[in-house]
Amino acid sequence: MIRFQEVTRRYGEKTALKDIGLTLGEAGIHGLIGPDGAGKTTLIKLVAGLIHPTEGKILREKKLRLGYVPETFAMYEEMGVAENLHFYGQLNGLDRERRQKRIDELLCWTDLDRFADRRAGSLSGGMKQKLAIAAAVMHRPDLLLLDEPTNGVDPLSRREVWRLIQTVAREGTRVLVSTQYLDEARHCDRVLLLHRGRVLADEKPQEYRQSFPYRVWIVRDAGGVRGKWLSQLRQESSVAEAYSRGTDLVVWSREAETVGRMLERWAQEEEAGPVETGSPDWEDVFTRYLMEDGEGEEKW
Amino acid sequence: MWRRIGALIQKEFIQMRRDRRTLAMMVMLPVLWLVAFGYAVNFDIETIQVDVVDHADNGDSRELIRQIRNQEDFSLTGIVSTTEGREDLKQGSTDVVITIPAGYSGLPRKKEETLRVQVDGSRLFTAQSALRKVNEFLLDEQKENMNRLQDEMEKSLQEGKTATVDLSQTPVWPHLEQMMPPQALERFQSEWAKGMERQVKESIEKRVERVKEQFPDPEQMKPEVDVLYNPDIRSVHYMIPGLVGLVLIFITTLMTALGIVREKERGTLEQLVVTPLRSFELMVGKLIPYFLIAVVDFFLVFAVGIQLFDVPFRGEVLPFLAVSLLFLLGSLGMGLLVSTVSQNQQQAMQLAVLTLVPQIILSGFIFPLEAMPWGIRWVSWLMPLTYFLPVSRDVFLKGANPFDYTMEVSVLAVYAVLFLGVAALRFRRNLG
Repeated sequence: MIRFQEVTRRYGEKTALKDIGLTLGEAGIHGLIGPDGAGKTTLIKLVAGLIHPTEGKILREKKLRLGYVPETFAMYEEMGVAENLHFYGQLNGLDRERRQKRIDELLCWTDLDRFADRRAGSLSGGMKQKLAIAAAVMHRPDLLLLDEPTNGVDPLSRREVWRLIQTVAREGTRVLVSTQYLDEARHCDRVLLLHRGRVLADEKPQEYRQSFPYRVWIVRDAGGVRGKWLSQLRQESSVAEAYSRGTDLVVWSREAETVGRMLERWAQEEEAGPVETGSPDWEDVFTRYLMEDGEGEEKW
Repeated sequence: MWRRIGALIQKEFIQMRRDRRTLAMMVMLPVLWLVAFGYAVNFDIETIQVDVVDHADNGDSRELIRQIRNQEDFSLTGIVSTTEGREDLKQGSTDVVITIPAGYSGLPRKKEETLRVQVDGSRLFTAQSALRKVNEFLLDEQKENMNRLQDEMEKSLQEGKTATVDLSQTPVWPHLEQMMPPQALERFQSEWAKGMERQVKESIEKRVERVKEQFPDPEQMKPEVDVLYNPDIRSVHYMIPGLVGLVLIFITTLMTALGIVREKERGTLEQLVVTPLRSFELMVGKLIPYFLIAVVDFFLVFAVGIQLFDVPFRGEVLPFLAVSLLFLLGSLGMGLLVSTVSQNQQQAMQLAVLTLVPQIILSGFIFPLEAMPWGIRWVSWLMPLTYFLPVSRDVFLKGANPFDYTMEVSVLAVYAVLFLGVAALRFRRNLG
């Protein structure tokens, strides 16, 4: 377990994290979600011990074995896939036999077995991330830290990276993973929402949905009327939030019936729609916290 | 601990083998410098281009020109006029203009008969070489002329040595004719004349001897110069022992700095820090490969220098290696120090070059420290290379024992401890 006690971290004048008090390292996958500049990397580096708090204290359980995958690819590009894994295995004290066994296992998990001799530098983005994760878990760490592992990775490879993270978690390694993709929160057992160096919430995914205080209306394919409707809706006192998501229009309201009837009437008049009611998705959930934090206009 | 360090060393060598650019830099650079400094950076000019302006146009001046033509070190570019000679110097088509004055006779008796030599000072090393060679040649010429003069004098004195004495001219002769019978007189006359002639001859011979004694021996006029340790005064003999030091400090500092900063830049250093690897192990694991490469470079420069350029190594290898390793440790420390204050390879490269280039110029590698003003010499004394060079040169050329250089070796040891110590502290702090 890792406990942050009133941790503040500054870089010169700039405060990256402010008065953070939280406990990390529960079993499963702990997601760390926030926009750019929220303090995700700082938090992960503090956990890794790469940097130290400017104020406050971090309590770490003794002999905690860490695995760390930084934001940028940090394997030795001139070395082969297996060579990289051997190297990290050696550093972590694995003897030759255990190393080879573990490498075989990880190459299989990552589907990199066909590329064992290929130089790390010539792998594709997704393969690189899988190699980095494999190297970080060579020694079966207690806690695996991943800093935006799916950043810049194509959607198919993203799925594979998450599958690998889930496999690692199932093996018993606790995972702390940061991401700026909101939808990736669904892969996590717990999600910490970070914004401007502060923790907005740290809950289980279902708790976020359950505590969402509004009814959500979605006007499908709102098309040409979106702009006009948005400005009208934002003047309605019963509407908490209205925004466009793709070609859809999303409206939140506590007075569900009134707003629903109004939207259906508009849709009939303007031949738009259909109008549906739905459960909040992750964007809604996080936007709500940002609004409550006084950042209603800011979107991911 | 050693297993982790071993893994790191193994990893470094795999990387070096695959990264051709770095490998080329590590091995090619010393070889390139060897070629550059061994062949190209040579202050010795083999052949001096000479123009002659002959105002005398007599036997002596033609003899001098013949001698110049016969001289191996000189290449006579032409017999020219004063203006042409000046123009040739300006154009750089000649190195020296020797002007023979009107009335030249080999051994000048007045100022107007003195030879005039002009060199192009804008080409410093050529001018210095030319002056040295011309002076040597003219000194030889003077010696020859003196020899000739002495021979001539001797010859003219020898001519006066055979005197014929005619006794009939003496005042006593009529009396003797009356007193002696003719046969006896004739015998007496012959004996007396012989005696007289012998005396005159002896007296002349004595005088010739005296003159010869007073006359300087041209053979002794040229000082007996004995150049020790580098008899031919070859630049390459001076350069190679220094180059050993320069290669060591350059390669080691640059490689170490770049090697560590590259890990920092690529983010692999953070990866390493999260592993059980301790900062000391990381430092040792990074330094040992560069240390080994530097030792290989050391032997490379050493062997090629001795084999290819015939530089003598008169000292003992082991003590020299020991001092070189001390110097090497300081260089490793410098590299490590550079890496701790640089964020990327570009910065590291700039900083390393910034610390290394002044050492090439100010350490005495090329220009002697004695020729530098005091203010600058102080800067030189802060540089490790300044202390290694005299030891290296004296071990190579004089066969000195490096441990007799107590001050130099102590300073190198202090630098090694200081650089490595400070760098290690900073390195550890940087890693958090």
